[in-house]
Amino acid sequence: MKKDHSGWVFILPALVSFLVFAVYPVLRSFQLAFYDAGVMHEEFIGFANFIEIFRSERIVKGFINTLKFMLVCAPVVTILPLIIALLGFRMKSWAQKGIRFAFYLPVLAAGPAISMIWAWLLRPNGLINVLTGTTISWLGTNPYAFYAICIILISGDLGLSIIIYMAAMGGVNDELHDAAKLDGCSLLQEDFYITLPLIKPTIGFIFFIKLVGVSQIWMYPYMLTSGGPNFGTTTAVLEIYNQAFKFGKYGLASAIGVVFVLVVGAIAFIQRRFFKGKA
Amino acid sequence: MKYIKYSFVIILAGILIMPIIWMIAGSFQTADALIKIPPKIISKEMGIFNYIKMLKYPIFKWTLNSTIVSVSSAILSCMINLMAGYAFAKMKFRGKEIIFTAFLVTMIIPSQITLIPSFLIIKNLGLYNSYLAVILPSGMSAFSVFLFRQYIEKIPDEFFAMAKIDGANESQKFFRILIPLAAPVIATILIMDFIGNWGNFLWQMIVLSDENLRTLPMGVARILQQEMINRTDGLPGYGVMMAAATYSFIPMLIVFIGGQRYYLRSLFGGGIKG
Repeated sequence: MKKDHSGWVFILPALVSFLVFAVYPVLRSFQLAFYDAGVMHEEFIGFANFIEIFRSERIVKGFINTLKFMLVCAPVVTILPLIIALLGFRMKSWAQKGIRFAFYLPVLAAGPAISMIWAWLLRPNGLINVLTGTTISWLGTNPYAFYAICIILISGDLGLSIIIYMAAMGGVNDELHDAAKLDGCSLLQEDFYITLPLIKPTIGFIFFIKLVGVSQIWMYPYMLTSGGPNFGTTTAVLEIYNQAFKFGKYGLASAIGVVFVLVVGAIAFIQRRFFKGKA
Repeated sequence: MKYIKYSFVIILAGILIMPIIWMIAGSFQTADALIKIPPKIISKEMGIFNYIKMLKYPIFKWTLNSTIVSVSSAILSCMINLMAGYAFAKMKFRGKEIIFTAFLVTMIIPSQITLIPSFLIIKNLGLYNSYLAVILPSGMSAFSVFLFRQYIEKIPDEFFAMAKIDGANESQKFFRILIPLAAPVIATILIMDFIGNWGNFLWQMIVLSDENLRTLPMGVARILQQEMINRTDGLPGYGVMMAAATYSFIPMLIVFIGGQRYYLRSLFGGGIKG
């Protein structure tokens, strides 16, 4: 009985935190989704919030844009780091360290800092327009604002995956590479027949966390375009924030959260099944 | 072939690092130099004037706020999760595996769905606009508990058994035996939590509105918005923006370089052994 007692004592703080800031909020969110809830009032209104989601142009666009961001960015931030890691993992260890550091720098600057630089680079007579010989208002017109946000997001989202891929590739048994060389495999054949199949679970895992990660995008639109122009870059999470903390509609925001979790959860589930089925 | 490979990687890395070089170089440039076409990385009129202008914002106060909430959150959640990880790894009690599994399930709950209720809890506790509002919710982390449990399970039981023979109670075992032995994984989690909390800008924005409590990422976001509107000579204050961006980049760089060994190790789930 003594043992029982101390185990629970040690687990208690984590358990309290788990109940208060994980279990309760999830349940409460599902409840709030069916209420007209604001700062001072709460009233049951059935499915009205969910109907409102489909009626509101900005929320519908938020969901569509979120899916577009996932579709465009998630594959890029999965595959581009893979290519870089494939090119890099046979290099000498100082070169590998250099690659990891170089690609990790933008990750460290990601967020408000990187937004500022891009605001300057993308201004109408900024460097990007000068280099490409255009005069596009990148952040002020559709569909350019969407592409601009994609580029900014991707630039800060490669480093971690490169590190993880390189570690996975380094873990592949050297004997397999040696055997392949003896059989006269070219490096490209080695990549395709040995390295890639062996790290396939890692690729699936990265794709999964990137899909989920990209789905939560809100900061760059919030900082650079305020979700505009004409809601062209608003996202589901940004709309949760706007509806709740700008307009005080907690119920509607919770309903967006519930739909968001269901949609992203379904996509993530299908992705997992797809990768497991093929491996 | 080899050169093509190297040049591809170098060019791509160059493209990604360019904005950061512009950020640092631009922070020392005059407003005129920043709108010149093409902009120059080095010019004659370079100086620290943008950093001086930046001081009209309470940037050190923001840094202090960020440091306070990030360090406290990291220590608090590290303690909570270390205790739980220790219990899961070395103690027997009823319901252990059920609770552990329940904890793990929270890993797939996105923070977006807990956002509004968590905010209401903080508000009802009267903690809105306080450091505690930022610190408290960063308690249990399934990822940390999982990592701690894995690491502690590998520590031989003899260490704890011997301490018990010497008459140590549970808390003495925790502080005198466990913490020194688990120091590397504790460092890893502390650094990860610190970085995570530093950048958890959405939550900070929701629970803090008081000017005096603003964190550095919030402040930098504010500078961006202010300087885009408050134009001097008809121009946004790009220099001040670059200075603020560079300034906010430095703490992350220091933590990353200083803690690189621990930070990278964590990504492999303790799978790498020296």
